[in-house]
Amino acid sequence: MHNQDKEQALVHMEHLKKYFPLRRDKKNSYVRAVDDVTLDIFHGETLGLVGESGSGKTTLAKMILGLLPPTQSTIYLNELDVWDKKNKKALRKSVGAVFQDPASSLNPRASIYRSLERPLLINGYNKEDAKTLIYETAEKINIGRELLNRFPHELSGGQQQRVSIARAIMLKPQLLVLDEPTSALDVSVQAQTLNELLNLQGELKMTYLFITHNLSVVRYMSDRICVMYGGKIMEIGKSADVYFHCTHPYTFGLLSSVPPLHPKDRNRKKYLLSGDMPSLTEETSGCRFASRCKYCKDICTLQEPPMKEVGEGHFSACHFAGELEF
Amino acid sequence: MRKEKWKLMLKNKMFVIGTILFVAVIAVVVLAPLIAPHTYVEQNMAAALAKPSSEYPLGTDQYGRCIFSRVVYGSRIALSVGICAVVIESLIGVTLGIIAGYYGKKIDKVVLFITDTTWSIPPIILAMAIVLMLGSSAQNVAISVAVVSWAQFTKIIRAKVQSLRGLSYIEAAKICGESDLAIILRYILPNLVSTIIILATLALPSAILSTTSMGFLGLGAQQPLPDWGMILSDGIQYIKKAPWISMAPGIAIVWTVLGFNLMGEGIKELLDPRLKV
Amino acid sequence: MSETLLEVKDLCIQFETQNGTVKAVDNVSFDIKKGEVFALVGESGCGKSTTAMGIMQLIKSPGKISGGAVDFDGRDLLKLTRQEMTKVRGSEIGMIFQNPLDSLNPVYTVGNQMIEGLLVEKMDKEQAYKVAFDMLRDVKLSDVPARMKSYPHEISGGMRQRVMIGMMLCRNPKLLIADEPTTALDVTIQAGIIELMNELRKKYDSAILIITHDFGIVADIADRVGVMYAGNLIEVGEVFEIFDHPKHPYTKLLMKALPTITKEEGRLQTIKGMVPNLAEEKSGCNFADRCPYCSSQCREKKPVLKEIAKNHLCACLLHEGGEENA
Repeated sequence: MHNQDKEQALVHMEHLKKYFPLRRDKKNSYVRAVDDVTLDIFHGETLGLVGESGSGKTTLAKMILGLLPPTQSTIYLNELDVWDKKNKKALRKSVGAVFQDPASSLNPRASIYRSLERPLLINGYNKEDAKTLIYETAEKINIGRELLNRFPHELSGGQQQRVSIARAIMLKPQLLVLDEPTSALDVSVQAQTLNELLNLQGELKMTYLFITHNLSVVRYMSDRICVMYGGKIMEIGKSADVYFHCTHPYTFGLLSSVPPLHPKDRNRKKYLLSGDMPSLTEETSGCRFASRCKYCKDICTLQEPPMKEVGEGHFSACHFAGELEF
Repeated sequence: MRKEKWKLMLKNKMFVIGTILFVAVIAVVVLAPLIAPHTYVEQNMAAALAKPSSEYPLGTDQYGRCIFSRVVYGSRIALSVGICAVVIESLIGVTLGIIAGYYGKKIDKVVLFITDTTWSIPPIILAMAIVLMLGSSAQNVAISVAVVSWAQFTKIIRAKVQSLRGLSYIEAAKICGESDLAIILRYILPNLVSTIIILATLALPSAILSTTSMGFLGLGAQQPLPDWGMILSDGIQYIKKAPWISMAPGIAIVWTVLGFNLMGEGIKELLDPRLKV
Repeated sequence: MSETLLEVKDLCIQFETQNGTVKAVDNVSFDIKKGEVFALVGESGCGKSTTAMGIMQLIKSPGKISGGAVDFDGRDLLKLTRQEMTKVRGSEIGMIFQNPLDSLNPVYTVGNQMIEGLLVEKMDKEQAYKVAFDMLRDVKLSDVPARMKSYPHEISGGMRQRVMIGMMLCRNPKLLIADEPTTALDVTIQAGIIELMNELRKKYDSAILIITHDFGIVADIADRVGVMYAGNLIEVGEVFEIFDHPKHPYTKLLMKALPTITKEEGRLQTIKGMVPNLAEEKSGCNFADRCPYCSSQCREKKPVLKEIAKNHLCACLLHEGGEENA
């Protein structure tokens, strides 16, 4: 469905589902956290994954990282099935992850050095090589040597997050999953962290899956943006296309909710979403977004919208994609 | 940081009192032969049921044995049985708690069921049944007390592991390819140490209470060993003529249990004030 | 120029810690006029929330107000007795927090809590019910009769914050303090709350003091802005002035650290170094170590807030005496 050849995709998934059983006694009672997601992530790109809480973006990331088994279908990384046991070892070095909360990302009982050393030792480094690599990496992302002997609680949030990044990139993964890496940080520290991530990506030729709810951050970082809602992809395309020429009412709602960058934009054209995300437990026949959509027509509640190509590499799951004027 | 915390601890009066009581008990355990004027078996029928005197500071029992000496030596039994019981119960409790908390799902349900079942049987009756099955002795009392009281450890450790399991550094370790066993030993266990210490210090006084209760019922260490519970129950028949026989071990029990409890609370304040026990 | 409602003069709040006295709020002065929205903005630990708590006199030990005055509607709040202050809180100054669930009583229904607050104002039950009902409609809750009977845990985070706002406004306070009111909420919900606050302040004519770390929210709602850094108020001005012509180096850098661009367009500005330790007594400007325009004078003399243009105050030696070289 994308213009690029399939071989070029680093991560590939088709009709991926994750249903969490809600109650054992009731059959077919699930939370449909990720529901029928088909997605490719290409070599060297940054794919920004945005959506509100409960949209399924973190669940999707956990499945890619091999932390949560999918209910249906699977994920291919370099054409290897992530969930096939015999591929586990080969894939271990290919993915890294940085999580949201810097404080809980590091073992409070281990020094920074130990936290960095351990992944190397498991993956076949000896102590000497590990030391060289740790010092090298620490220098690369501005972790002073004196910090290495400290414990996580002695570091600031920004420093903790840099250590987490160091740990994730030391083994030079092809894919780095960044789950809200800067949302717990202050603006100035966030800027520094984002810049560092960009430099590292250039240097190590990594592919980023950047998950966030902050649309300004995602615009700064991403080549492509994927918008999720209620466990489904609503819209995906090049950053500029999604940001400036969105075709899905949800994307428009999300974008116009972002506070303006200047007070003169205070009276910008807004489309405020009312209500809350619908419960993901019921099987819906139509569009997931129908209940909050002001452009909703009869067909929207009856028939699930297919992914429509609205531009080059720009897809939208709306019956009226391309027809609506925002 | 640590230093300041200890300073803060010294301001906590209850902790200081508890520690003093505790140190006194330990001193008695270690120095028993020096403190006790007699051995605990030495009989003097001529002085049976004698009143407290300079020769026998807390009087004698019906065989003319020195109560003070017996209570002093009894501290060794009470403490060693209590500590054994706590070690066994923490081993059982922590292992099950970690397994249940870490693996979750069906394993968790099974462990939880066993825990709840154990908890719902009156502990002293279950302990008695076990000792009667295994035979009366100090070791068997330790085992029986452990078997009836590990559930508390399991419940708390399980909850703690469940919250640790979801933390990012555990997930990061999994992504790096760390095995389940390594995660438990390297990442989870070190973060449980303070919880285990708190639970153990708070479990010790109740273990001592349980072992002496068993002794009182005649199921603990057998004569002529000086079990506090046994001395107490022996004294009951002479309570009018010679009240000191029962009072001495009674005070010893209260002293020890109070000391450990106060100290345990203090340690809890120091290590993890939010832990709910 | 309209009347001044609140004037904070040289407010100092310190915390006694093991490492010494921390001046969390150091000689902060600003004023809020009737009906205006004043935003206090800064990064974590800059003292913005502590200032708000100081105004409400809700500073908990080991913190204490060590100097200054808070003139509100003609009297100094710091000189009031505890009973008098309790009266001011709620009826004259309302406050909403980041997490509304903590500020709502879980065992009362939403309606009962609102009525309870109104009965203090010598209203009878029927009247109170009507006021509460109208208020909930004003904060745009759907299905108000049902919501009146709901318990706080039964409604979503966005609705709870709406209830909180309604609860505060229904006693018609002259000032509403909102401490990070939308930080815990999704961006679409946040947009609704900001919209609501904008609407209601016109209707109820309350002044609002909004505490936030998000310049977007400032741009969206504030009339005037105060920027705080390390316990000091470093710049105060009208919102357009601050966005168009920031004068303090910190404000300037922070504005450029906001992700307003794409990575193709350039890199975000970063601020070197870290926030200084406030427990250490030192002379000069708190920002000196991180400031690219720092001179030797900056390390000796502490800058004070001075008017550098009409209604624009800045605490920086660069702008003292009119020399403009930054």
